Amino acid sequence: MKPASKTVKSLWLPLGGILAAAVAVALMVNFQNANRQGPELVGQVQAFTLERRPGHDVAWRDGDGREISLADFRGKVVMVNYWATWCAPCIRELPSIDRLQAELGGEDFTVVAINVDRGGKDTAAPFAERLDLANLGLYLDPRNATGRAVGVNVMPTTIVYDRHGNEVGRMEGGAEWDSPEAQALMRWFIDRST
Amino acid sequence: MTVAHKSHISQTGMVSFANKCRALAAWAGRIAPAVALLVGLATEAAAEPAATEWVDYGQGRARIVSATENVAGELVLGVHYQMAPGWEIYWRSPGEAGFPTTIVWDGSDNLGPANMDWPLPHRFEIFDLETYGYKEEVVLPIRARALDDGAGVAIRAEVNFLTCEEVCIPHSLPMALDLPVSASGTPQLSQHAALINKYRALVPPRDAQRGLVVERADVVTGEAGSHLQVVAYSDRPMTAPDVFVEGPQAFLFTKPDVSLRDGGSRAVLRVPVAITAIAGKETPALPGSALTLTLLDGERAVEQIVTAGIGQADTASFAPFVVILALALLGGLILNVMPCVLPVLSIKLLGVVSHGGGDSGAVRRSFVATSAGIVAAFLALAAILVALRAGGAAIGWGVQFQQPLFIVAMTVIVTLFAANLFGFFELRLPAWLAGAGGAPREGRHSLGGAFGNGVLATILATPCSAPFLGTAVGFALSRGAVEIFAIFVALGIGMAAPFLLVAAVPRLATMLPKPGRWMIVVRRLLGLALVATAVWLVSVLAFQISPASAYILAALMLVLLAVLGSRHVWPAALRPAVPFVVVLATVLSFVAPQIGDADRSADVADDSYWQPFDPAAIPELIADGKVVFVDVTAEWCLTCKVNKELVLNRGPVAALLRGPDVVAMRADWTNPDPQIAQYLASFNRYGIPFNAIYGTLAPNGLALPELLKDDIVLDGLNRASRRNLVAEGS
Repeated sequence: MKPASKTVKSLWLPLGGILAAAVAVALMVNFQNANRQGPELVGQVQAFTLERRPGHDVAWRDGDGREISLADFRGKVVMVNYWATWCAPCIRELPSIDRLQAELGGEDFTVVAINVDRGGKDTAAPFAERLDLANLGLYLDPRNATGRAVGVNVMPTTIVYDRHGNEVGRMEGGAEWDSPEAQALMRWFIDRST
Repeated sequence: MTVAHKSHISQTGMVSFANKCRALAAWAGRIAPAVALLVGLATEAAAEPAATEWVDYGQGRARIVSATENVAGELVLGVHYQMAPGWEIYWRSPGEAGFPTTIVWDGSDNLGPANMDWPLPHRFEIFDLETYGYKEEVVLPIRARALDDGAGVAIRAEVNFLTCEEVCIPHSLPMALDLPVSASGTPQLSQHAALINKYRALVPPRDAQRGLVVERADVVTGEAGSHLQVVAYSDRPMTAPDVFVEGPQAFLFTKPDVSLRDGGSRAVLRVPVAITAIAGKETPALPGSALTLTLLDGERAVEQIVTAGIGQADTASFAPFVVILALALLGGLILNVMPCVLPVLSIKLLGVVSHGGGDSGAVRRSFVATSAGIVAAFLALAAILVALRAGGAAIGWGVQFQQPLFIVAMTVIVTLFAANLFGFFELRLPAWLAGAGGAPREGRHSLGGAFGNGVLATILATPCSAPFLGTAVGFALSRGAVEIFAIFVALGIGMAAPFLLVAAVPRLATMLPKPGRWMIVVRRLLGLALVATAVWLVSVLAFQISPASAYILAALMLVLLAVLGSRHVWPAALRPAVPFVVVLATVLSFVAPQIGDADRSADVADDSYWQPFDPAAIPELIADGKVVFVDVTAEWCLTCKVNKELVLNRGPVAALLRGPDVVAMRADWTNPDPQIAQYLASFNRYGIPFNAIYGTLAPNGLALPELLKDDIVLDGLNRASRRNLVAEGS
């Protein structure tokens, strides 16, 4: 008996310690989950950074030469994508952006893909046609005034604005924008922005 | 240059400091010249002589270097890039995405026009898009000169470029370099001269003689769209040729599908062509457009400007291998009824008749042996072709008939067979020859003889280049040794098919009538067919060497026949001389080709409108608005004779060829001629008949099929000359 009770006593302390640690970890995880504000930034949108910035007062043009600004999309979550024909990763991701617009575009959300080629419409239009971007409007900023104003110097860059025109996050580099995680991210912005 | 390229706003902490410094320098340079001077002084202190300071742009660094420390007029500069692993900058034509380095020299002093040269780029794939550019390190050499030779040069450059990896980042880097005037009038070489020269040597020279040349670039339109077919020639075997094509903006040319021919001395590069213009907008026609082709093979590269023509698909290289093998089988089968093989086949059939009452096992063995002989002979031919090709010889199907001694040997063999069939003599030795005709008469069936039958049939088949055979053999010759052997074995099996059929079902042989008097009649008739074959062979020699040598050969063959035919009536004392006379006549016949050489027969009057083949004259004739028709023929080419009789020398085609608008050229390949062989090879043909039509629309020639028809030739003449067809054809 004596040796047995000694064994129990000697185990009590380490077992208690492990249990206490497990409880602490569980509490921390729970606390973090409860406190987590952002969406899951995994997979294709791993590189997405959530950072609120004031809205940009910038304007670009559509295919017919009309001036367009973020104000024209007030009330919608807007995903602005900067692309160029010389940018291979942009060309790669454009079809997925086109599909994203088909999936989510509407009252609450829209994609605005702005081409910054110096050649403007003559360069961009045939390219867009060749990529068969049926759901995306043609937006042009051949002088890249917009990109300069909002701090874009890596192509592609994608910036998301809330319904009031405030930047809520951005990503440099390409992604499959119609992937489940990217769609979930956009839905998260739509649901949160009122 | 877009403003985007000028944006320096930092996005990553790593590059932000350098960017800020650069932004500051740029700002200072614009706003306050005094500050700029100070910054400039600091820059020069840090930089090596004859080079600007390295500018770190985050994904690499760049500077401008000069080959000289001072100037005396000429300037040799270079933009020197050292890139972080994975990052690319672009060639002058970036491919499917990207843009090249451009430099704005505004603000420079005493600097004249500057021209950038482009070292040979590499082909990279980024996100499934094909791009051409450089990685790791490169110098883009620049040729410039001072406006005033007697003064120094102040270089103020804004270097604009794009670098891409997972993302693309445009940059615009300001650089400054001052080069003083050389006091001695001779510039002092800098430590960068060797580096710049290293990259200058990588710039493909234009129209240079580096043993590498683009022979033609034709737009070929097929079911799967258009591609550009580039034929390149190299004086030493190519290993991995490639071509960069630059043309009108509406077209995008990507990585070619390459096939080597002639042991690597010729390459056919099929370059995919995509149209990038807006639908509905007029697309310029590619044929007739000037293309800049950068052809390379390993270290060697040349740049050539070529006008795109219209061409025909290099079908031989695109048909699947199994299809070609099937064609070879069929072609081999057809050979059995060709005039040059028919007598041999008939001899074999005669053998069958003699087997009439024989046992099926013997029939089977005999026919298998003949099949083996055919296949073995084709294997031997393949081996010879592979060996010749390895030796770099121009080879084609039927070229062996260009060798007079071969023709003489064939004539003697055929004549002896004829004598044998006439019953003039019976050969006992050597068995493999005897079996070819004599043995059945004795009731002995030598397997060696049956095998010899097959060999002889194959050798006689070689000049009968049926269209089927030409395609298969042309394909084989364009490929490696394995394909040559495979296709020749298929030809052999095809040709042996009837024999194999009898071997499989010997009853077919025993169903024939019993031997009787009719057999002797058939043998005599077949003997006559062989005599006819001999006469044809002699006539080939008449064209090839001279009529005199042909007469001598014919006379010797008559002696041979006469001696063999009359030996039974010779006095007994003289009979031992018979073999001696036969041998003597045979030996003498091989001397016949040496006689009367050079005395070529004149053209027949009907052919007078044919001019001698002169490919160099063709472009000028086209420029004069003429259409040029080229016919490559040879005396030994039976299909060529058929073409002449049925199409070229009669009816509407002959009328047109005689007319003022068409220049008819004839190349005679009866004797070996490397120029003609090379000409044929440039069309991926290795045998004849060959015909091509040249015109304003087909400056590189439109190859016609081997077997001609009136409408094929007339259509070709129209297509080569009518202007509106180019646009439709593209």
